[in-house]
Amino acid sequence: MSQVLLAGAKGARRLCAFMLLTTLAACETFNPQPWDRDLMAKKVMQLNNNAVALGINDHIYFSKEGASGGRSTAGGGCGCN
Amino acid sequence: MPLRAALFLPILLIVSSVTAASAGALDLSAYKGKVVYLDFWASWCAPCRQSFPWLNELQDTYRKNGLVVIGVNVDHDRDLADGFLHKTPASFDIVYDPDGQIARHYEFSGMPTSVLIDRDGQVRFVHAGFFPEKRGEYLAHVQTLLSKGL
Repeated sequence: MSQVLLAGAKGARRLCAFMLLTTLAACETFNPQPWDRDLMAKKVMQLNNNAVALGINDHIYFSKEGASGGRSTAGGGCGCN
Repeated sequence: MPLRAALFLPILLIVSSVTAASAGALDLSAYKGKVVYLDFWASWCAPCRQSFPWLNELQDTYRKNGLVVIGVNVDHDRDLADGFLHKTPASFDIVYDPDGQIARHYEFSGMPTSVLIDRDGQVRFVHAGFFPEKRGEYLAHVQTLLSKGL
């Protein structure tokens, strides 16, 4: 049976498809698990840890592009509580 | 011959994911008949600094009633955990889970998380996060489980 299904070029393609699908099954989540967020909790990894730098950037965006706001804070940090 | 070799990789992945899933459970058979308060903590988790003194108090008060508080540490670096314990000591048992095996078994979605297990080994309550204003609620859950099975 396996000889019939996996013979020739079509067989090779079927085998590749099978391997790819089963390998994809090993991909569980895209986000880090809550207990693995140690690096994201570090101060250098925060999106908004330097208020002065943020203020400078906001001023530049406003004066050069006339743009303001647009800052979101989702997804970073340790996710505690 | 090449067929067998080519099928090896996906079968290996499936088998390893199944065995990894079952390998992680903490062996709580020694605590049958006791209420287990399993607290997942880490050195980088700020609310844990507040939860530890409360957990110490909880353990000391209810040890005689059969409460066992176990802190499961999920730090990848043991030194960080020891540093945290030096500043915020624990009067309860600590279990180290750097690979996250135990954490994965309980499948929670935030840190810190506490899992309350009753005297028969069933998970009854899960506390997501630690909020000082909810300490009364946490205590009520503990007392509910302690009052059963006596």
